[in-house]
Amino acid sequence: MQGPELFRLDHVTHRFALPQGDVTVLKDVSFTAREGEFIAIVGPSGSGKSTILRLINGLIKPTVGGIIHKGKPLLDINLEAATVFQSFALLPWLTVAQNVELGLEARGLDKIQRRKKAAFYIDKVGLDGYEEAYPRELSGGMKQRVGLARALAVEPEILLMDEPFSALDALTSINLRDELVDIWSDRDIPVNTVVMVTHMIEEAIELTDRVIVLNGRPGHIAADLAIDLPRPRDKRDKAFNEYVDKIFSLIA
Amino acid sequence: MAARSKHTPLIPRYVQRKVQNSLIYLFLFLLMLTMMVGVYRGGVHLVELTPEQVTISELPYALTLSFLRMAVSYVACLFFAYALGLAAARSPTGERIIIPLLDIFQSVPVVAFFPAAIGIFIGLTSGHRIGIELAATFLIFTSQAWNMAFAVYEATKTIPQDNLDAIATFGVKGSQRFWKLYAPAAVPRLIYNSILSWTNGWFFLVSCEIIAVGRVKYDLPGIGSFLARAAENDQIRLVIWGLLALASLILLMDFFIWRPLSLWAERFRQEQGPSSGSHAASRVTFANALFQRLAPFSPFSPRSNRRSSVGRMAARMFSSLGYPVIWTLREVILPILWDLPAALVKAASRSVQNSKGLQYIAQLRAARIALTIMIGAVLGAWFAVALFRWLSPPWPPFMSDIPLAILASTGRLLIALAISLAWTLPVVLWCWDKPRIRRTLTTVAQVGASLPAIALFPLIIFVLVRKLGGGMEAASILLLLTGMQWYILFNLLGGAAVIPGDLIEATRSMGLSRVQQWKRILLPALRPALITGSITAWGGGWNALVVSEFVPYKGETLRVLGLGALLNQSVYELGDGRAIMICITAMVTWIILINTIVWRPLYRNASERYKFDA
Repeated sequence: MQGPELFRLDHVTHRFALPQGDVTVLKDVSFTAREGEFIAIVGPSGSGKSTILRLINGLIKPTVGGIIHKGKPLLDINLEAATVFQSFALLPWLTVAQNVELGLEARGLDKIQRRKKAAFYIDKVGLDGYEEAYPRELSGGMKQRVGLARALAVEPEILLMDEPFSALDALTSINLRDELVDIWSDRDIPVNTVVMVTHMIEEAIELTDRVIVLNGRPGHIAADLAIDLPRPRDKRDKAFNEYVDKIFSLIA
Repeated sequence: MAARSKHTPLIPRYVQRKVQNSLIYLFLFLLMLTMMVGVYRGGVHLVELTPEQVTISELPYALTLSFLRMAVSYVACLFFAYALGLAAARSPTGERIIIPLLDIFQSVPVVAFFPAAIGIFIGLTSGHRIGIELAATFLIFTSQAWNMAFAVYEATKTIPQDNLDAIATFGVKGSQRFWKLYAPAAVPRLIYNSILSWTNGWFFLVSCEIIAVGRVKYDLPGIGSFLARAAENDQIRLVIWGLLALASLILLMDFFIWRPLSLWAERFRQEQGPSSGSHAASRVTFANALFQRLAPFSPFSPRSNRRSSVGRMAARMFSSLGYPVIWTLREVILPILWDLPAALVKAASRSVQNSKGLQYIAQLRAARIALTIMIGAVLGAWFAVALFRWLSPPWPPFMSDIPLAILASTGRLLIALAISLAWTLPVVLWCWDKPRIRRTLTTVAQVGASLPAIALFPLIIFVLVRKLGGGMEAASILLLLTGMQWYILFNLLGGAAVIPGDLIEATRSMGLSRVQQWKRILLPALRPALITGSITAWGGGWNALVVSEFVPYKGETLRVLGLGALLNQSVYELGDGRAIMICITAMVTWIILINTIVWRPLYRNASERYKFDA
């Protein structure tokens, strides 16, 4: 199900300027993502995982190297990517529907189309009936569903997820993970390439086809593993645990 | 090979920045002084629009006029606050210029703006009434604007990074970004600061409605000039009526505007992470917040649906009135103000990039350096001349008194600060767990801080001189107190309100006595508020000095030795630009010095050690 190349990081090094001096967070990182891939980026905190997502999204520009999206260097915000944030990043003064419509409004869709699309995705994430609620009135899991619907609604080519489940309680995050897999394989939803950052190795192996392991300060790619396990995956499986041990030994 | 990589400069970057920042401060300060005093041409004018003897019948008219001036100035402040606050928060260059500028302006007393007000507004309209009105409104603006710009700046700076990223990744840009993100995010701080701005505006209203530099004098009918006249002539009855009218207006505004607005503002609070705040907050509209307050007074409709039906009606009324205004603002004015300049800058930079010649010049390092040196030389020469002109003789007659005046004023401020703390702290210790009393006291503080010091003077004289005895020295400290104590009370009450409820319950369950609670919980928890309050009071106090050390009363001017009195003397009696500049320079330098040496380290220490983390 993997297609042609979608984007690639080309020898990316990234430095942040701080008053005390520059800090290098990423050093010479290169990898290629193909259409239809579900990629996880794992690594200890400070290894530059989230920085990679922000680079792919075009929120920041690499100090050295470049991001090539569909053969062209990425110079501005990548409007064909959408991010799901760890902290949900919903605007508290907008309703669920208004939050989901945000990106559609920015893309100039008229009111009727916006409503229709927002309703479709709100329904897909299981929040039907909560359109007029405000984020404050929702539980953490429901908030993250809104975050997911907002990202899906712009029908991006790349769905970026920055530790999407780590602010949720264990039970909620298990449910939401299952639903994410359903959404990814849902034919009605055009999104099929996902890049997810996580610090939970098991989560990465359970969900994705490919795990990129970052390590060190500055972060560099320690390993790039294809996860060759049938779905649905079982955490008690022997092969599953071999992957866990392998990645764990790379990081620790 | 060079031993030093290009990322570690010879002089540490933070030292470079410190030096650059002080230079920026100095530059802005001189620029500001030149502009403020330089536009003034002097001469003799006298326009008095308030009668020599005021009567009670003028009170409604005066109050209405003053309110309108305050409202016009406030609307201007809102635009100013968003424009400068956003510019400072969004661009590093803007930040380094605007923040020092606000800092300087904040510590300049209102009388120091008189020459500029006369020079610009009255000068350009050659003394027409409109010009005088504009001048007064501008002066009110100078007592309202700075903290509001700071509010927008701080609110924008503290928008969670994820929210900024979310807005960016979904492609929300230009004026749409303003409406969806920046405007709402600033609302809570802006409303809190609006209350302070109105308070400050009322307090200095007297100075704004009677503008005088030397023999040039303009005054306008208004509650400020009404109170001033009545106080000067020792008409205590009229003063009391005026103060009562003013206090009623402030209470009405608090009840019908600020409280509903504060409730409504809750929906604009951003929280980071999954913690959920008050669930109902997002549902509160301004209209139903207002009508919830009115409901108990309404004799109509059964109790059960009184709120909702009245609220719904009000909401409909407000939206039908407000919608056209907001629509025009959002769809017409803002896109022009916001998107057009951005588009122009983009187009200009593109055309510069495209034209070969300009590109060539831009790449010439030598040309850039030469240009920098040239600009530097011109500015340097201009500074040197300006400094020389201001600081060379003939000096004002009081030049040698300045060091002593600074000390005397500082002493008065410290005494007033000590007195303020001595009564507000026990009050807050007593009422910290009584929310009703706390709320009432907040309103009292708001009214108290609004009443102009000059109007209180006859009352103080009446009590102090006639009943207790004591001279101008004591009176001036008491006047100073009127400009300082409320800010401390305000902040302490706010500090007490944010002590987490479960912390109070925990101490109760452990059986701590009242005194132990004070020692272990309350005093440490109140420390940031105590210091913030003291800083605000200190800053406000320097402005209040101007109206406390120099008071016209019964045909003569009562004064004490102090920087405020000297500044007043320079403005009202001498009308001398140089004297004004010297006084402002001394005052602003001293304020910024004390802030840097004393208050900032204290504040940093307290806010880090005693903050409540969620």
